[in-house]
Amino acid sequence: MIDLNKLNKRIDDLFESETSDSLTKWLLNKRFGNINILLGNGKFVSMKSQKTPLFASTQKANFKQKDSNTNHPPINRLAA
Amino acid sequence: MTFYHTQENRNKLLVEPILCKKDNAWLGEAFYFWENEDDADFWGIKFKKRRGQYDVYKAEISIADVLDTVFNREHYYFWIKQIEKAAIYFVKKTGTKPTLKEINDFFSERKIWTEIDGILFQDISENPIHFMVKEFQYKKRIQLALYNKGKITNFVLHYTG
Repeated sequence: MIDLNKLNKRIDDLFESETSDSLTKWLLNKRFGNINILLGNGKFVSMKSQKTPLFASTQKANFKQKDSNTNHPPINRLAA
Repeated sequence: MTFYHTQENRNKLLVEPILCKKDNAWLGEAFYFWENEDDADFWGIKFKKRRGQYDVYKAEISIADVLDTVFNREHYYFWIKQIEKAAIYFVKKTGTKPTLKEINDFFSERKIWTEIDGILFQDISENPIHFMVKEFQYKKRIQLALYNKGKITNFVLHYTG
């Protein structure tokens, strides 16, 4: 017969003994295998998506776009 | 008690069940059995016919030390309490929600489930033959996740579908 009280105490003791680091490391290993060796240890951080001024600028470019029918070669050809 | 284990037919008889290690295995790595033959059969038809046929094995399993969350009220509420406790700890200490499988794998790897032979649990079947009344699925789909292989006797092929 299963001793539920004993099992309950074992589970309580288990979580008391686990640190944030040990639990996070276990979870990372479970989810991503050994990739966390590359990433390093740490907590999961939830991040909000944010617009940055760099990409959200509504200002017009400060150069004049040339007509696409001109005979200029693409810029990567110039580099080559 | 008799339980059923469904696998793809690979032209080779199994002498023991296959340990399920899949990510969607609710109760972690375990030997999974169905309590009802029609659920075992439906599982074979739906998920185990990649090679054309499926095999349904049957076995006798002692469930005296199985956590019975389906028919035992005390076990059910104990189970709920442990899962919710674990979920709270995981969120508090890691900042992320665990899956049910992760909680069970964690318990297994930390030798908590060595106290029990397995977990009997249930969900709702998608099997159309279970929908015999309108708008309500009244029948439990019951599975046994067995951690202790030593509790299995008379594991034999029941039929090939």
